[in-house]
Amino acid sequence: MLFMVKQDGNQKKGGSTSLTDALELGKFYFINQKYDEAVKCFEDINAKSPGNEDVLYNLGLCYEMIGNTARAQDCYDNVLALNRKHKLAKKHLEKLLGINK
Amino acid sequence: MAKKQKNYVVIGLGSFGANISRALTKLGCQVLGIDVNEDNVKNIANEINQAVQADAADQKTLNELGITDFETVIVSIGENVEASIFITLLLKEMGVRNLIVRGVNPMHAQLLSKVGADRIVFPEKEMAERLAESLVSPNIIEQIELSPEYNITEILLPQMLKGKTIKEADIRARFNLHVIGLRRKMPVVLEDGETDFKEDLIIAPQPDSELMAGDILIILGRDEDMNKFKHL
Repeated sequence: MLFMVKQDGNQKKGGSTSLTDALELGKFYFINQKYDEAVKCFEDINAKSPGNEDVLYNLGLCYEMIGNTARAQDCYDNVLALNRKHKLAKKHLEKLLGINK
Repeated sequence: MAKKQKNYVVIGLGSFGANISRALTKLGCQVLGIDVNEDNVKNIANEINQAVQADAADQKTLNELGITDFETVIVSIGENVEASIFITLLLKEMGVRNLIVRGVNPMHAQLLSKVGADRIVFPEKEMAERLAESLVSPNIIEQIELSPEYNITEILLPQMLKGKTIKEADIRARFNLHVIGLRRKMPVVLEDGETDFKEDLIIAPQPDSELMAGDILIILGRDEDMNKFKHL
């Protein structure tokens, strides 16, 4: 991966891309149904900058897409631990758990 | 004309009875819950149409509650086998049309069957079997039993079939299974810029339909054939 995220969350100038850019790249892969690439991208961001609900939510979507429901559940759980009002994560988690099927 | 609501009586509002009452209410059904235990009634009173503290072994009470006006009665008294059998007999004699009773063991089930239960369920056993199945075969999403031999199974597309067409996958000839539908998730960007996916149901997919990552196949076939397919 090309992006880098500084520990303080600021963008690093010159040659590297920001967290936002990396997130957009992951979403680009997702929208274009390149799920393996999207997972790699979001996992990478999550390893370097953990605790981002947007990254975890998109990672959950990718895992759900490829049928890894256990990992998807973990991701949505983590999103809701960060923000219990995250409607989409809640919707997906409930569906995976068989609620509101 | 408005669709008539289905109505149910649930006798015994312990864990299983309360949960089935909630689920039926959520699905838009009318539910009358009955239990002798005041706490059980109080716990669910605000979540279903009507919850009554009453003794379901008393025919007069059941008559007053208009029990025979309901389409289905579910007896969910697991722990008290004697009461469960007696109430089942009473309800059948009163003319309840569809009587579903929770069984606790094979002997109990046999007696329930003799006194007229239309269907006997073993929630713990069924749940345990489904959980075991999902642990051993995590790709199985859902299974509907058509007969002891035939099932309709929803299964996640095996990795090795990704990118192949239905014709190339040749599931019918190789496994004697029929792909009757396909659930396909498509990524979308919502109005607020957030990502999500929508799910399309494709009935009777064409032979040239390409199978994609994340597809869920809806397959009709025999259990033993499905067992071979799910281990692909």
